Amino acid sequence: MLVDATKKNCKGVITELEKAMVTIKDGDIVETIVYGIPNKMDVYAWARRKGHTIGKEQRDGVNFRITVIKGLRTA
Amino acid sequence: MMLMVSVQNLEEAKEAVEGNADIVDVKNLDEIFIGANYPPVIKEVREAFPKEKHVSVTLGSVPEAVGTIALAVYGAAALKATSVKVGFVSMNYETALRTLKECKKALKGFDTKLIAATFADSHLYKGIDPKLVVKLAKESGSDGILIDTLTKDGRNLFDFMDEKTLKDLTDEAKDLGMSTALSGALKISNFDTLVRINPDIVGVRGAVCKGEDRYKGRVDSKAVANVKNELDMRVDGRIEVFNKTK
Repeated sequence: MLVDATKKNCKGVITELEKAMVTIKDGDIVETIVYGIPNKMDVYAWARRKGHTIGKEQRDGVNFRITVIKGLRTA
Repeated sequence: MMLMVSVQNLEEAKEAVEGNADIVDVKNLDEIFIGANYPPVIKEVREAFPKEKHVSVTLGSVPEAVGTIALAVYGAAALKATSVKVGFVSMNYETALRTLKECKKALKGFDTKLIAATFADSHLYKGIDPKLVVKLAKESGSDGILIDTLTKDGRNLFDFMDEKTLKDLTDEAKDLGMSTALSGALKISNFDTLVRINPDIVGVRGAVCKGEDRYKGRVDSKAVANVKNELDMRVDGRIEVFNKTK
């Protein structure tokens, strides 16, 4: 599943990711594309809070493509 | 991160949009504690820009008059505001919650979003704890939160609430699917901290007025463009903010 959160709106990437997560099961992967460093940091912090795992991260200009694996976090 | 510029009339709104503001927020500085502007002014600003341009309406810190506030919110929606902000100072939690619930009902059938607002310095006015804003918004079904200040004496948001508290509130609201906005005499010197907090919306006025005077000055497109650029440079990494010592 791909969550493209690069489009600017009042509700940010976390809202979109939260929505995506309820539709998948533990171990499934969501890829998200976010604009800018603060949003990237938000995704990492959100994953920590929610017990998800961050996989790959790829930078493309000011956008970041980040893989999030639902659950699986043990630390 | 979107830049919201507070304006008092169409002329200022045009300056804000020319400077590339994402949202124009219509308010009335002549009324005590940031009041609402007049319907014809809001209508004029809304009609001057395409639907996609966000035009928000501030009611300011509202009195204990639930029905009156709900009707004002209905009015903002009828004027096709993108969002309407309802702020609380001297009101107990239960009345603030009841007010927001009635406002939410008033917005049924409209696209206008309801924003619950508290003030970081409300303790100076024996007001509601600003940290309750997320709880208020969640329990009332509001679409977003705003934390602002009332004091306009040179102090700003960060004189009353620290980065960690604001970050925690912002994250909590985002996890609940709400939009998040911070405002309160913010300046470019606050942008490093703001970008680390990463609210969806940053609100300014004084910083984009000629002479940085929010009352006597007028919104200036060049100042708006400069503020927007300063914000963007921190978001896209041209100015590093995450590895700085706070």
